[in-house]
Amino acid sequence: MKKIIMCIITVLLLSCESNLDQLNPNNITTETFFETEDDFLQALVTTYMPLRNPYGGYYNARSVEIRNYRGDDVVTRNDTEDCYQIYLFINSPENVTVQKMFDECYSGIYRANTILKKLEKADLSEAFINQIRGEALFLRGLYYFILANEFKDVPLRLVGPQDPETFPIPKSSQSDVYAQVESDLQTAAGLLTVEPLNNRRATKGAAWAFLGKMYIYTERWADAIQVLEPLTQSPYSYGLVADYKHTCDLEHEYNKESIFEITYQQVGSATDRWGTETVNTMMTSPLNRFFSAADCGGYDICNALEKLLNIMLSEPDKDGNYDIRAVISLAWDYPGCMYFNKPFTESISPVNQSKIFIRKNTYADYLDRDKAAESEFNEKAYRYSNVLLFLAEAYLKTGNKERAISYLNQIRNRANLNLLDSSTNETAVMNDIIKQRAIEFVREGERFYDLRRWGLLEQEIQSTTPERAGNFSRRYYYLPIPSKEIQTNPECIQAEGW
Amino acid sequence: MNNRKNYLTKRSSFISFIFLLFFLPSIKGMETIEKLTIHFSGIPLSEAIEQIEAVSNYTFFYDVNQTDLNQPVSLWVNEQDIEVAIAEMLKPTDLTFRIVTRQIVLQPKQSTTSQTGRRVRGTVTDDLGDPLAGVNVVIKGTTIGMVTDMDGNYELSHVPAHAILQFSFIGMETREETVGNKTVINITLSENAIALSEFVAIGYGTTQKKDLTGAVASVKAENMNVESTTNVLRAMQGKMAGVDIVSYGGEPGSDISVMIRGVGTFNNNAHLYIVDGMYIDNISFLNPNDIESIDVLKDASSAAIYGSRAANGVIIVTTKSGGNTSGTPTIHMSANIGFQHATKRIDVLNAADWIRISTASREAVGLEPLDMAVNPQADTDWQDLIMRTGLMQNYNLSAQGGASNFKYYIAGGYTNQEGIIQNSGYERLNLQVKTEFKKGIFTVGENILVSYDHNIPMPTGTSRVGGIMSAMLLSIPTYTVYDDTKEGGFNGPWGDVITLLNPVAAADMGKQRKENYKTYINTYAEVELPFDLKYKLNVNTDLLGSYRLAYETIYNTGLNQNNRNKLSEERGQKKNMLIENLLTFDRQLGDHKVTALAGYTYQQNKYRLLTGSGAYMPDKIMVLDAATESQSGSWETVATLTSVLGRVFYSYKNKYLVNVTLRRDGSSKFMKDYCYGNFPSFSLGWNIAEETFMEKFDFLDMLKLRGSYGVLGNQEIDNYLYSSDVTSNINYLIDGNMMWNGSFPKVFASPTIKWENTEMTNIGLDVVLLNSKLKFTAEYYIKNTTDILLNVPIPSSTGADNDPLVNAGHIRNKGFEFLIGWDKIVSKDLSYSLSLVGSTVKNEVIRMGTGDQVIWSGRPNQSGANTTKSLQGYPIGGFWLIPTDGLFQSEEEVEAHSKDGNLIQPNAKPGDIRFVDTNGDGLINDDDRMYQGSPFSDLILGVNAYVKWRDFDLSLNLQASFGAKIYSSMRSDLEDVSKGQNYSAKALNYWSQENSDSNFPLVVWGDPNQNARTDSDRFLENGDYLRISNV
Repeated sequence: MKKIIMCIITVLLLSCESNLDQLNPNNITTETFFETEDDFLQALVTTYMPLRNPYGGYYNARSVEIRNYRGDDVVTRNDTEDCYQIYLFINSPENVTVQKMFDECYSGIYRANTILKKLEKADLSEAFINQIRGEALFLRGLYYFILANEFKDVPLRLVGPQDPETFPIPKSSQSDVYAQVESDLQTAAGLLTVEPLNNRRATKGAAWAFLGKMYIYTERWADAIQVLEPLTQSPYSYGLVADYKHTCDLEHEYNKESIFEITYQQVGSATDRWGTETVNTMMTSPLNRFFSAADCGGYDICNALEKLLNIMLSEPDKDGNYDIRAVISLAWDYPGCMYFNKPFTESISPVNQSKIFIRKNTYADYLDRDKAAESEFNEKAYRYSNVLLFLAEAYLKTGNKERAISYLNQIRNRANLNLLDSSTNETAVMNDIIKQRAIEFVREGERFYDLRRWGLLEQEIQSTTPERAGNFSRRYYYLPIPSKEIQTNPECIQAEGW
Repeated sequence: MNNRKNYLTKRSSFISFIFLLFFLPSIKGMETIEKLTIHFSGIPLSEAIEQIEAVSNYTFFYDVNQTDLNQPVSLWVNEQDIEVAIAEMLKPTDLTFRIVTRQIVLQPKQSTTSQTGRRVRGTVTDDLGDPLAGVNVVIKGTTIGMVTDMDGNYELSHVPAHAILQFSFIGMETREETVGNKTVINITLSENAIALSEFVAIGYGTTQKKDLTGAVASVKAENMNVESTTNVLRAMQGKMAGVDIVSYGGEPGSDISVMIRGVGTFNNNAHLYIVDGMYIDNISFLNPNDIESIDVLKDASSAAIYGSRAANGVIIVTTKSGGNTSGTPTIHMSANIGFQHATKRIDVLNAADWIRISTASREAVGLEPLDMAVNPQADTDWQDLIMRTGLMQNYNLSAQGGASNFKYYIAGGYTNQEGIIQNSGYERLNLQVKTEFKKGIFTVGENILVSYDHNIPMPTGTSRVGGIMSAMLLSIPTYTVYDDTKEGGFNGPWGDVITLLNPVAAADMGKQRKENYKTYINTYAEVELPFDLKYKLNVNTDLLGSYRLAYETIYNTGLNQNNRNKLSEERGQKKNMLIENLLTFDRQLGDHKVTALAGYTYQQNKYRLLTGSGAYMPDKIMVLDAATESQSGSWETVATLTSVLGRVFYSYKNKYLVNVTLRRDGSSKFMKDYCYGNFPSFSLGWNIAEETFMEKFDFLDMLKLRGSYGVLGNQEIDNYLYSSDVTSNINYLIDGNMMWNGSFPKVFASPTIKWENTEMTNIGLDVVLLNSKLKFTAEYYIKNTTDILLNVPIPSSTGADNDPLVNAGHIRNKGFEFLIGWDKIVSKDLSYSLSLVGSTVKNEVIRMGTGDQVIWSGRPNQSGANTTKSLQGYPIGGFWLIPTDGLFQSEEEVEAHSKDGNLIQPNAKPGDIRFVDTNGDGLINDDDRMYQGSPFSDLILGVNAYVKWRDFDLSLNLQASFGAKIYSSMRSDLEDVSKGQNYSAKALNYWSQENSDSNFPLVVWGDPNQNARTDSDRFLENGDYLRISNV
């Protein structure tokens, strides 16, 4: 009898013990991941994702804000404290928006590093491995370019383990990071194809284009020419679209002028407009509301300054009208201005009519009233016109003024402006490059970086908005390393001046 | 005053009618029958006695040795006085009798000729000198004796000289007196020293207070203030040493935080709640009127039997049970009504003042005044519109009773509390059915607790952190509440201002609802085995359902818009099961007493959540089927725990007490190699007052010294943290509208995590004096929590999305607790009691994840910097802030505040705050923060006073706390005059050349000097308070 009782007890005990091993019913585990092509493709997708994260993605809401706010061409009001502080040049290392930008870049880098490592042992076709490798290296190069561009010196990680021993590493200098960017983008360009496998995945042209940008930023003019010049010829089929409007409307996405583009569209039935990495994340961006007038349903957070308008209107086109790019990018009180399908003076209340609204990438041409914060406008990360203007600058700086003027004239021609003739002196050509860049790339987040590399930042900021002129100082050239990194990575010290 | 009595006296006629209705039958049953109707003839005396006892409420009292129970007797009476009847019955016998209340005492007529002994007589009185009738006076060791009469007199014959007379009475302490050569023995009996034989709940059972070696704080139902609160935890506030109860805001249905002996871990400080043996997450749903007593197990040895769940203390709640009332029910009914309103309003600016201040602030940087200041529409007082007086109602009805082999307790209650914010409120229904049946060696019972509550929470969707409270305070007063021209009908702010949603709109639009359905079922069977063993099988099931609904309507107030109707619904379901096998042994052998417990338990918790959301429904339709876009999701977790437990308690002569406990738990939250934890503890006690050398100190009822040491564990973390999962749905779009699904193992897993351990040492002293009138308890404890599961932050540059958990930290809590109580019964009508409870806690982080790891916390508002951090050598969550040093009064002062020729605060002007450059590096940043205090109190005191006169009682409770600091994040928002919102009235006193001794800085738009920075000590306040929590 006793034996039977002991048996029953043991059985009961054991059966209950095995219930202690619980598998997560909500997710699969990593043991079986990274084996098939599908696994790697899925992992690659997640490496693109950080570009469109609404909080820290470089081409979505908050980052678009802070890339533009530090320029001298816009004014913003205090809606989100963090972004406002960046505008006023009083931000600190605790700034959450900057932290998120930092996080997303490194998130992409970690994923790229992991993919690259796993690819080494993968048992798949060489063509596939090369494609994935190319895209992963492109993305890593892009993320490090962003980091070095925004933060100057940052930690450089090229492997992605989860071992805490590897966590503390010091910063690498900006030039070291750029060197890594160069190496990654060059290798990527070698592996990628001319045409993207899907729109808009990474391509050979995109890799060269970003490398060219990096060379321009570091004033390596000859190298820039070497990588950017081929993009103007076959096998690439890039070109300027005839109508400037097509660069920023809904109907002409993925046009020949777009070298790299982030897609936004309402797909599926998700409802979270600020979603990040869940099933309920909407695939649109909330940006349409930021620039639209409150009278028409927007948040009206950021408007253009009169200074920008003056630059844009300083030269009328061949027919004596306003520069078409001004009319397409901005909305202000001029005769015939239509804003949200009504004349400007009707859609905007009198108290706001002195404002200059940015209409690029908004629904001002499509709807009577701005819709919910669900923009389907793709973000143009790199347009061919940028290549032309970079080439113009590079040729000018290496003494080939004619070539510079010819590229500049392509831009001017598209905008229906009079062409420059070859007698223009170098200073004038440079000034025109500065001016064309200011006009061409409104809202595309190029101005601040251009002013910075030309050494014009201080004077331009001082001469614009008084409320922040006094706050500006040298340290604001770059963003500070976020405080969480400083607090958790003992070998990483804060940037100078912070 | 006692609300209950007031209410009842107003309606006394109605109530007494009800009472009479219920009590009538029982009253009849309890009436003493003075008239006897009985018929018998020639039956033995013993049978006659039985019959008479059956039809009357009298009992017979006699000496078996001297009474011939077989002698035949007869009686034939109808409605005869009992005295006459008995006299008639006994006439032919050799017995005579006396009647004392309800006892008929038989005595032989002639004295027998047992020669030894003499007559002893005397009077028995109580403490106050009043005679006590009905006291049993017995010769110890025999059944010879009698009862005292109405005057307290007794007389016994043939009492041997060596005999000991024993005087006993219900509710009084038994006294014994040796006869010796006395013939008159007068005795005073006093109220029973209840404190010593009182029972206290400990794990899986109860023990007498005198046997207790651990630290347990108790509160009985009569000492809890159940009238003025709907939450049982509030009713316990300030009553127990070492238990700190704080409520999170006044929202009805909101949570209450309980800290037992300080905060021990960064993770879940959740306590274990045991209600009648059932494990319950949160006892807020219980009806305070159903509670009999609450015992809190504070130290290791008392809590160790619960091992892994007990590290933060165990709160044992015992609900009321029936009792032996011979089958008739006792009914209790109560009704309470009260009103609540905000006692203090925050002073913010009205329209005229706001216009003035905001304009001044804008002018300071050359900006035009805001349009809302130039064209004001109204002078709106938002606090007035949003807040109201809330009605609170509470009704309870219970019936309890039983007989010798069963008992029952049935209770129902209804609570309705209106929130002080418009459109918020809480409603709850409770039902409890508890029965127990006993037949021979088997006992079977059940306890079912059912509750339903419905909560309309405060609206939170106001587009800024802080919900409706901050919207109410920060909304600018110059716009009207309604605007017919806008969609939805509500107006809103415009211009360069913060986009706060109109608070009235937030409160009135849309709909939110939270419902909880809880059913706790406990069934048990117990069998008494030979050798003083008892086996009990407990099977518990909990079925908990929750439902949430949130609905937003279309509106456009200008800067805030919502262009579609949105609905989200959520249903969660928990099924918990517990099976416990317990074997207990209880034997007292002379001077030795041994109790032992062995058990094996298994517990499983299953949770499943279903969510749905949708948008673009037509107006006023609130179902997802009507949505053109909808989304659904679900989530599931399963957790199990198996345990083996054992406890042995031994006491020798009630003087020396030893208690040893061991528990071994296996949890599903950790991986195989780490899932078991062993939790031993032991404690010792020494009842000094029972020692022979202490006998002369007879004013000392109890003096006990005790000490304990034990280890407990904590596993209250999320499930599945050890497993390295692949996260899916990280998506990207390509080709215009093609969804490219992505997955990645992005979570940094924690495969080696294991139990958190808490080691506790406790030393205590219990003293009870003067017949339990004065009692005093003091305890000192040290609690070390090690292997604390911490999310050790890792650098963002690793690309990690999360900070993995590591068993790292070590936190120590030390403290001292004391309780002094005085209970006095002045007379039959008047009694009072007074008690003082105090506790101190000193909290220190001994070690973090890495030596210099810091965990930041305490973010005060939408975008401010953190204000608290936890690091080695300081309390958890201490305030680390940059010190301020007044305002700059002049340009010279700004210049003077420099280092090496550079201004430390280059953006400062006269009137701005001067920050102290603590580390002297010329910059004001994180490195200048200094430790400025802890959010936990150094000392907490509670004073409870209670007076009872006849049927009225008065109680007063005070609470005080010293040493805590509070950071007013509300002020950090309201005193920030740099943006488009309303400001505190303090801003009227802003610094200017004419008003230079103000302590409110300059008003300047944009705040270049960062006067409102949240990481300075400008908004840190002293948290000492004294409040009357109940009168």
